[in-house]
Amino acid sequence: MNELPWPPPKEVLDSARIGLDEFNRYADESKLDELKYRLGRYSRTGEDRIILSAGSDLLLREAVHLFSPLRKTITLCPSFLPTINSARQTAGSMTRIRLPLPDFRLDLEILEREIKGPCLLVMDNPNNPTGKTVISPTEVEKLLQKQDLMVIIDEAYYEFSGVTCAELVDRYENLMVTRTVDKVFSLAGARMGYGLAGDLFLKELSSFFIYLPRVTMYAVLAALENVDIMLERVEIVKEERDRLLERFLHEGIEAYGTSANFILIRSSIPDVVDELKKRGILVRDISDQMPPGFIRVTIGKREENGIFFREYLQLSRNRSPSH
Amino acid sequence: MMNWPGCGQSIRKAELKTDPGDDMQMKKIGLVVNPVAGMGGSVGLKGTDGDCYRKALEMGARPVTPFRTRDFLNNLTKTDLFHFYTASGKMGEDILKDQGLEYTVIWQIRVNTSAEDTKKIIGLMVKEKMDLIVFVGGDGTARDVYDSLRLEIPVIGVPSGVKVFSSVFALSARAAASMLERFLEGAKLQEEEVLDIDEEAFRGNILSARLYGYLKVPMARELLQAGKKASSTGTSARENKEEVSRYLDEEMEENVLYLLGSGTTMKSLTDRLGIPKTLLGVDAVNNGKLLRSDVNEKDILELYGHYPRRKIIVTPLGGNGFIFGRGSRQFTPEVLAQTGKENIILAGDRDKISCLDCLHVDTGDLEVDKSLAGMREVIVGFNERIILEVRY
Ligand SMILES: Cc1ncc(COP(=O)(O)O)c(C=O)c1O
Repeated sequence: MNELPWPPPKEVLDSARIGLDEFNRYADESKLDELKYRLGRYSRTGEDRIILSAGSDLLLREAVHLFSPLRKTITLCPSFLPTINSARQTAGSMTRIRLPLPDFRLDLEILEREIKGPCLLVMDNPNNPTGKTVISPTEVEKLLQKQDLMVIIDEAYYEFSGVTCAELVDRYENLMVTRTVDKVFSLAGARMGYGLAGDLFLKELSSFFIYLPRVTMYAVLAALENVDIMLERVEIVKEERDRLLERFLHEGIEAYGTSANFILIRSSIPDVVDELKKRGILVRDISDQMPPGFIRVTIGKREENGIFFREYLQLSRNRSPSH
Repeated sequence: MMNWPGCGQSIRKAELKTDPGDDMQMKKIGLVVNPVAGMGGSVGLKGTDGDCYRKALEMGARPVTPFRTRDFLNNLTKTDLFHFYTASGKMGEDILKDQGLEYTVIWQIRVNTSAEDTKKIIGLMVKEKMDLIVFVGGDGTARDVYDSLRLEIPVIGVPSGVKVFSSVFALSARAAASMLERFLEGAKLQEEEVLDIDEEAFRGNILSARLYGYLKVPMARELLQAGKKASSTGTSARENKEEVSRYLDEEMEENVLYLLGSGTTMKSLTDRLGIPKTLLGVDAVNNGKLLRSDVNEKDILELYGHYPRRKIIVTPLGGNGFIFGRGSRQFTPEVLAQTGKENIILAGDRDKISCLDCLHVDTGDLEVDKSLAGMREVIVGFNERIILEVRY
């Protein structure tokens, strides 16, 4: 699930406990406003553009349900499956554009050609599971000029890539950027995501209001006061990611780097996911959207990455059939 | 073959006397193990067909299938609901005995077994009316099974081989065990592909496959190797095919000659239209009616003389993404040149197409291949498409 390996910092847990103390109460609105204010500061957009959600997946689903029925929905293949699956339920028509090996490049010419008539474009950038930053803010801005096109950019891995379209939401009513605190802020269990919405999205989603759980709200408030801790962790993960990738490449194993907190390996070990599981290592089988053998490996602590590397090598060395 | 030592009818008969499978409650499950499948893998050989087997032995290869078979048997539940029928020795008996499972031997093998044994055993299993046959091996074994079985009895393929590309195979030995459980619970059946990979080319690291036939397997998409996971909207492969064919049906135009390629997606379309389909061939359809079935190049070109408007609908091959050049040989370069890229409709199973990195053409005519290349859309659901590149 691409979480960070460390628990939240003490400051965040302490704050969450404040939320727990008055658990008989809903989250207070003034605190929710404060949360929006801080998220606005953090994202460098106005606080009035923030839409809070219990996990970004919920907001993505809501927006897709709202805009896909009367539009052609365009998205990527592979992509974040919950979004695709909810689009399939409501979209009048759906087109997915393949990100092909070896570099998972998005063919922008094809993308532009496909945008005809009323469209909804949903892209995770960086893309999950390829981890590739598929489009630049400049390229997104160019697309935003198109008539009757709504654009959702899912930036669940923004802090790892450093690439964002956030600055465009003030100027383009047809853009929404979604983000999550679940991964980078070590708060996956708290489940909070948010949108940075252009005017049209703000208007259409005005009834989407979620009273966040108090504990979550307090935790995130504190997390936003400790952004430096998060940024440090992100740097460690990026270093570990690149180191792990190098080690695999050095062994001649087909592996792919990303601009997120995971790497991809194309494995020739039979039942590799199960074999690793037996050794206490969980990796994601992504062969439902990728050619056979691809697994997605979330970066953990240094020791964990080391154990994974050794276990994997051992598996690949004695690929003999005896168990 | 008939006078091989130790394969007398009498032994078979004697053993069948105490046949517990006569009990109506007990399911009869056949087990066929290809003892040499997969041995080449550990020594870097791709397959153990023909000469490669001797080479594998010389290089110190060890048998793989016993481990896979044991893995399968170990994970079985509800063993009181069925009884195994198998061949002697390493083709089944040894492992079943080892695992302490009940079985009946219906065929005595010689020291050296061959594909003929598999075919013979399957033939006997058809005669003895098995409810399901479990086979352990690779694509080659699947082809041998198909040769003497076709769609008569459902199968479960336990993957154990170097070339295991056919979608009839379960994901793993364990998944195969779960499939048997599903079968016992009354799971529906679906047809899956048996592929023929070009031996010589494959050993040279070129993957080229031909659709060889179909076998019936218990419906459990997430346990089969092709689509792996069921999509979370809960649509089965069959429902998906119906969705695709409903869309194709709506899009089909009057007075256009349609040539429908092979495969179960096309079968789903013809089922919808209420006409028969040649599963491994090309059928010509016009205004919802069957014009001619199982056409060859000559037939097609003749039909083209009468129909100025024509379209081909084909399904990319699962696993390797071939649209022309493997499978339907009837679509020759000449036919394709006369059809034109814009009149070729691609449609297929969502789960299979989602896993393809690109599509391939290899018609034998470079100019035709070039004309077909580029970004193409494949219909994978009702008004749902995936765009990917056709390469040559
Ligand atoms: C691309 C992408 N978008 C969205 C999400 C959902 O994140 P959240 O935890 O905020 O629901 C994920 C989580 O895996 C993701 O990978």
